[in-house]
Amino acid sequence: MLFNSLTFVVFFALVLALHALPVSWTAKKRNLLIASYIFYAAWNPPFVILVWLSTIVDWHVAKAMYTSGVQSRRRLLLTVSVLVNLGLLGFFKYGNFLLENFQAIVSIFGFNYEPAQWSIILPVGISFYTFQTMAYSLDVYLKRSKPAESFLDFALFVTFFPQLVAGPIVRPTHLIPQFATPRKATRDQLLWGLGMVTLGLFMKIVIADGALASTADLVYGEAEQIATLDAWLGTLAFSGQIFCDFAGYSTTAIGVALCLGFSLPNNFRFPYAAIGFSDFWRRWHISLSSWLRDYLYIPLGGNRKGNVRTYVNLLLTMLIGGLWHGASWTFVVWGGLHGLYLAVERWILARWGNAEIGKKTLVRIFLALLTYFLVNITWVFFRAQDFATAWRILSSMLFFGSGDKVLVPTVQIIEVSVVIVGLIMTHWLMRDRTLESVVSKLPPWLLGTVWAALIWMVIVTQGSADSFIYFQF
Amino acid sequence: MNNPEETSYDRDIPSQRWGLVSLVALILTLVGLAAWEWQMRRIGLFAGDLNNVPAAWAVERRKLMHPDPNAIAVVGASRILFDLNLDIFEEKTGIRPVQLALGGTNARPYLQDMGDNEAFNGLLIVGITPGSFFREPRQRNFGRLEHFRDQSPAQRSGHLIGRFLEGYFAFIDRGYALFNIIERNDWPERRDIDGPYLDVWKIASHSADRYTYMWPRLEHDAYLVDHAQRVWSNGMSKPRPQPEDLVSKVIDAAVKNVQDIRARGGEVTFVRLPSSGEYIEMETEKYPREKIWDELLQQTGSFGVHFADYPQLKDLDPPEWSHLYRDDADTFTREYARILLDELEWFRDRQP
Repeated sequence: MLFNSLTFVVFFALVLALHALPVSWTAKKRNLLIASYIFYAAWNPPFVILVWLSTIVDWHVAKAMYTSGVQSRRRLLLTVSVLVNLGLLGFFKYGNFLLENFQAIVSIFGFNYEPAQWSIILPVGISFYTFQTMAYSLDVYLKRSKPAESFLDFALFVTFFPQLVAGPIVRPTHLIPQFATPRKATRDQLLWGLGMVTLGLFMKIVIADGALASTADLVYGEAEQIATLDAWLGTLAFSGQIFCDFAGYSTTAIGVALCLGFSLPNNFRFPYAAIGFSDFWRRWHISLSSWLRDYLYIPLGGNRKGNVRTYVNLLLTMLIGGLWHGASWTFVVWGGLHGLYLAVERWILARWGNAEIGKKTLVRIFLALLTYFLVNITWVFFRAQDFATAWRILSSMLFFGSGDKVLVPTVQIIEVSVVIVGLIMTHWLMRDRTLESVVSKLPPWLLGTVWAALIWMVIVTQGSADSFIYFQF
Repeated sequence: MNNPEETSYDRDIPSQRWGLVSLVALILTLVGLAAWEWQMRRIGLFAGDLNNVPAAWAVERRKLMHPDPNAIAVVGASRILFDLNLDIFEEKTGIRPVQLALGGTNARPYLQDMGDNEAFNGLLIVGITPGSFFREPRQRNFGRLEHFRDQSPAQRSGHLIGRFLEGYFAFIDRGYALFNIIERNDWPERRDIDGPYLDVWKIASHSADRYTYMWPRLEHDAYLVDHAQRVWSNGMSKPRPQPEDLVSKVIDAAVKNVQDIRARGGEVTFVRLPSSGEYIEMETEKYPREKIWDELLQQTGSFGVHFADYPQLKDLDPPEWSHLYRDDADTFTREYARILLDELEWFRDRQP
């Protein structure tokens, strides 16, 4: 079920009504669990079985790990959990990719291997909930936390519908304790939650789908070499689209959870104002970058095993982060570029990190724009369906293969320019602030007017309930 | 990689007078929507004019999931969609057709779908718009079929809720969504670009069962008629290159589809709907009747109705060259139904 759909509006109203009924906390949690399964099944009912499988395996594995004192048995149990979760992910998400690469490799040695065609549907959100449940098993294995005491709480942690299909990827220590005691949104939480839902839907429906998607689709769907301006417009449009699409989802998810009395962590913090790439990853898809840090980068040794290993660990973490997004080498290159940026930044900071010049406002603005420029280079690989397209767009953007075909109509040039300039300025102004602090300072009449304007635009834009981009990951 | 900052366990709630804020928001939203609804009704939109969305097509397509020798289905492009009044056709023949035609598409994927549909054993009416039937289908032409096959339960329920709301609010019309209104101004364009101004604007109204007719405003708005003509003219000036053997390939494929339907006891009939102006000129020149229409009927062994062959149809004049006024569509449907009843063998045992 999509947040930006009429079905969700009705569903959410019913869930809120059920949650307000004077019944026991356990009954309310059961309602939420059933609602979460309905939310997931509304896309494709049979795939609920995968969520159940992941839930049951990790529940039993964690219990057994916690009670076992034998390290080899604990390691075996962890392996079972990781194999089941990564096995699901591997089969549904990477099956075709692995097969294609196997074919390519054996063909190098002269073997013509033609396997039967697979037709595998990617279960929506599988990368999110498998990572979330793996975190639970890993935390118990590493003795960072105890297993959940209630199966109902654990099942709800895996399935909680606001963040089930596209995050934020929530840590067990953050969410499971919230299920332990009765929670009900206060009036202010409910209204602020609805405000966040409005903001998230505005970002998705009006900005991402309404103002930017058509330009990105037009440019990245073109088979010929295009002019430099058009290549840039397409990529800038995508940079705004992916942010507003994904941050819009996260904001809506946080708002929905808040309306029910639950707290989810922030997933974005104005990333296009980032100065450098470590700063960028503190602001972009925070729940994934912190997951990769805690469960991959640090276990690999982090920065504790010397410079060379640090650089290798950075690169490896980002390559895997890239592959997490999709079963394609273009995503690996996207991750690899980010790994490279982080490594170069680390090298530079080690030498000139304390230079006074880096503290001047103009220099900081320049560095933020440079970061945004380099991020856009990576978006080319993220958005392009293949390397040929990526190379065509990139060569046009960087002037070494520009064609003369123009694509983007005047009105879309205006839309992309206005939105992207507005987006970057907003991010810069909000760089060291929070949304909550700014909202607190607005006069009530102005805040009410802005809220009404957002709702009005969401409604009259008449979005076509397009999927969120991150649903495919 | 540096550590992201930890998020707090409980979220901050902005300190605000939330009761006042939400009251202001509620009042302004209602005022804004009422004003928008008023403006949309003023320009000719009306409640009950339904969006022609993929889910609506899927609802119709599902009606053909079970064998029914008396079923009638219609595939084709926009002309058969606009020009066939389902109520009148049902009144004349006793059977309400399932309307599967789609504006701006190539009908062939849908003819093939009916050929492949093991449950279909009724009569298939194929509307022929030569310029769209005899060209390679684009990927987007398969969109409705994909939606029908992949439709999720949430999409089905969303469609039902949408239908309910469209019955009350005129502004719910994709043709007048906010960004369509913004983008379809006549902006100065860069060279060789067809901007959104040259998109097809709203020209149709739809009611239940995808019964479609010309949007009433178009019947008395010369600017919109002129705009539609500009769009068609622009499209005709930029034909996509097609393979040389396309006509024979299209006819061969149609023969196969027709044979498949007949093998199950069904029948197929073709209809060539009225066109005028630059369209009829282009169609006469590029799609000569003897090579296209006559050949199609002969190869498939099908009965067909060409508007030019019937005095009662040949003078019907589409105002924007491609689709009939609503009254003319009613006339066309009455006469077309009568011709089918008189001349198509399939109807002999099914006279109402």
